Amino acid sequence: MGRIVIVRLFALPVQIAAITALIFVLMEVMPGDPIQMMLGEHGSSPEQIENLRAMYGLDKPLHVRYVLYLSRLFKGTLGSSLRSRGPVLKDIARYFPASLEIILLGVLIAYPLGIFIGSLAAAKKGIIDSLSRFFALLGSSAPVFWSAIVLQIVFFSKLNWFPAIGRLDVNIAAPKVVTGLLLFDSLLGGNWPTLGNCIHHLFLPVTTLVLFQVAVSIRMTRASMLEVIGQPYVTTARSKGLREATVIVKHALRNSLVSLVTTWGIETGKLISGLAVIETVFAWPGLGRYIVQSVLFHDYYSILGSVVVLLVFVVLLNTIADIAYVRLNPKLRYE
Amino acid sequence: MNKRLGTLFRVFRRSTFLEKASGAILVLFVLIGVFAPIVAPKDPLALDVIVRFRPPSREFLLGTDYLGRDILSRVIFGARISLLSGFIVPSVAALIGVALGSVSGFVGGGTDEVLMRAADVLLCLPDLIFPMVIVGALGPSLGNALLALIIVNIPIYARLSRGDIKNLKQTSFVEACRAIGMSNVRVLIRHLLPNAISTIVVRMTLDIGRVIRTLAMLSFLGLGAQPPTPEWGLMTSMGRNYFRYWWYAVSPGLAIFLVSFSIAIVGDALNDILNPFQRQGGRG
Repeated sequence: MGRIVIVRLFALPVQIAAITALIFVLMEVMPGDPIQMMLGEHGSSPEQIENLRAMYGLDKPLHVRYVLYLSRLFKGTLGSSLRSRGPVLKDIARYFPASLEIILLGVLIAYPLGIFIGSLAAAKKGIIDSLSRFFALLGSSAPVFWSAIVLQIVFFSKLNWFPAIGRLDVNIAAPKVVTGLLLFDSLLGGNWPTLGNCIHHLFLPVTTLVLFQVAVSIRMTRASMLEVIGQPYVTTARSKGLREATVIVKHALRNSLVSLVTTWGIETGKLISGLAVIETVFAWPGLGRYIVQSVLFHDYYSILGSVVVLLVFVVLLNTIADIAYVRLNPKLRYE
Repeated sequence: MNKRLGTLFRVFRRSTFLEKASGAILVLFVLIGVFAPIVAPKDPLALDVIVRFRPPSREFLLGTDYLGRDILSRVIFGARISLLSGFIVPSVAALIGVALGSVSGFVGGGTDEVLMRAADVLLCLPDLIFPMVIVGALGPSLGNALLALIIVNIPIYARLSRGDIKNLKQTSFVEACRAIGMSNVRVLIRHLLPNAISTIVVRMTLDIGRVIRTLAMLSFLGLGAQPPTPEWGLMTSMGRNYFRYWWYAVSPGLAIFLVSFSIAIVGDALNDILNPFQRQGGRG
C-alpha cells in the first residue's frame, strides 16, 4: 500500500517532465506567434517585438527554454502568463477555487445520489432498474454544453429563476478571501446575502455537472452492487433471515463502496473536461475556462502551468482514492 | 450468407423496443447524412438576413439562425461531419493502436515497457484537455481537431489490444501453432488478432458517441470546425448567444444527444451479442 503511493508520487515528476516536454514540442510547431497575438493588430516596431520576445525568453532555442521552464517549475512560479503578465501560479491560485467549488458541490451531490439510485436498481431489478439505466444513458449521452444551455434557456431565459452567468451579482460585494471558495468565505464572515446570492449562482452550473456525473455514478454503483449481490455471503446473510434492507445496506453496499472509492478518484479527475465546457457556458472564472482561453490566446506558459496543476490534481485524487481503498478494506489493512 | 441473415433476424426479433427505436434513429441519421444534398430543404450556407431568427414553422421546420440560414438543413449537413468523424477517428486510432498494442503485447520486454509508459503519459490527462492543447498548437480547424482526437485515442486501443494479446499468448492453441513451426507474424496475424478483434469492435462502437461529443465540445469551444461549417457543436455555440431564439441552440445539440444515445444502446446490444461472457446483467 505504501508502495503504491510512493510509486505514484515518484512517477509524478516524470509524468510532468514528459507532458511538458511534449507540449513544448507541440508549441514549437504552433503556427501562431504569441507575441504577435499579445500586441494585437496594430503594428509594432521589430525591435519592440524582439524585446518582448527576449523578455519572455522566447528568443532562445527549444531545449534551453525547456530547461529554463523546468527550473521555474521547480521554483513554483510556473513562468509568466502572456495575458495577465504575472506569474501563472498566481492566476491559477485565483481561478482554481472557483472550479473547486463546482467540483466539490457536484461530487457531493452526484455520488450519494448515484449510490442511492444505483443500489436501488441493483437490489430491486425490474422497472426501477430499467428506469435508472435509461436515466443514466440520458445523462451520459447529452453533450454537457447542450444540457448547460438548455438549463440556461429554461431556468434563466424563460422562468428567470436562476442567474445564467458569473459567481455573484454585480451589486453584491465579494466576501473577504480566506479559502477562495465564496461559499465558505461568506459563511465564515456570516455574510448571509452574499451566501444566498452565491448559492443562487451555483445552482445551474452544479446541476449541469450533477446531471452528467450522477449518470456515471449510477452505472458504477449498479455494476459493483450486482457483482457483490451475487456473492455467497449475501446469500448467507439472506438465509440467516436478515431483512432485505439490512442485507443490501449493511452487507452488499458497504462492500461495494470499497471498490467504488477507486473509481470515484478516476471519475472525479475526468470531470475536468466537462468543467471546461460548463465554466465557458456559465462564464465561471475557473481553471477550466482559464485553460480554454489560454489555448485560444496561444498563452504558452498558462497552458503548461494549468496542465501541470491539473496533472498534480488528478494524481493526488487517485492517490487519495488508493489510500482510502486500503484504509476501508479490512482485508488489506492488516496485510 | 443466408445463415447470417437468419442470425440478424433473430437478433432483431429478440431486441427490446428501445433497441429497435435506437437502431432506427441511427439508420435515419446515417441516411440523411448520406443523402444530405437531396434531403435538405435548403442550402445550408445560403444567407437570407430578412428571415433571420424565424421560429420553427412550416417553411423552416427548425427555424432559422442569425443569418437567416435554415437550421434543419444545417443539422442535416452536420450529420455528415459528425457521423463521418465518429467513424473515422475510432477506425484510424484503432488501426494504429491495435498495431502498436499487439506488437507490444506479443513482443513484451523493453518494447512493451516503453510503449505502455508512453501510453500512460498520453492517458494521464482528462480526455478533453490534451486534444485542446494539440489543437491549440496546430491551430483550430476541423482537420486538426480530428487529428488530435485520433492521437489521444490511439493509446486506448493500444492498451486494450495489448492486454488481450498478452492473455491470448498464454493459451494452448498458440503453443500448438508454435509446435507446428508457425512464424511469429503468422501466429499474431492469423490466430491472435482475430480472437482479439471483437473486444476492439465493441469498444469502437461505444467510442463513436464519445468521439462525436468530444468533437462537438472542441468545436463548441472554438477549437474545432470554423464558421460557416454546419457542425453541430459550433452551431450550438453560436446559438447560445441568443437565448430568446431558443431553437437555434437546442436543435443541433438535440441531434448530438439522439445520435450518442442511440449509439450507446445499440453498442450495448452489440456487446451482449459479441461478448456474451461479459454481460452486464439486467438483460433477460
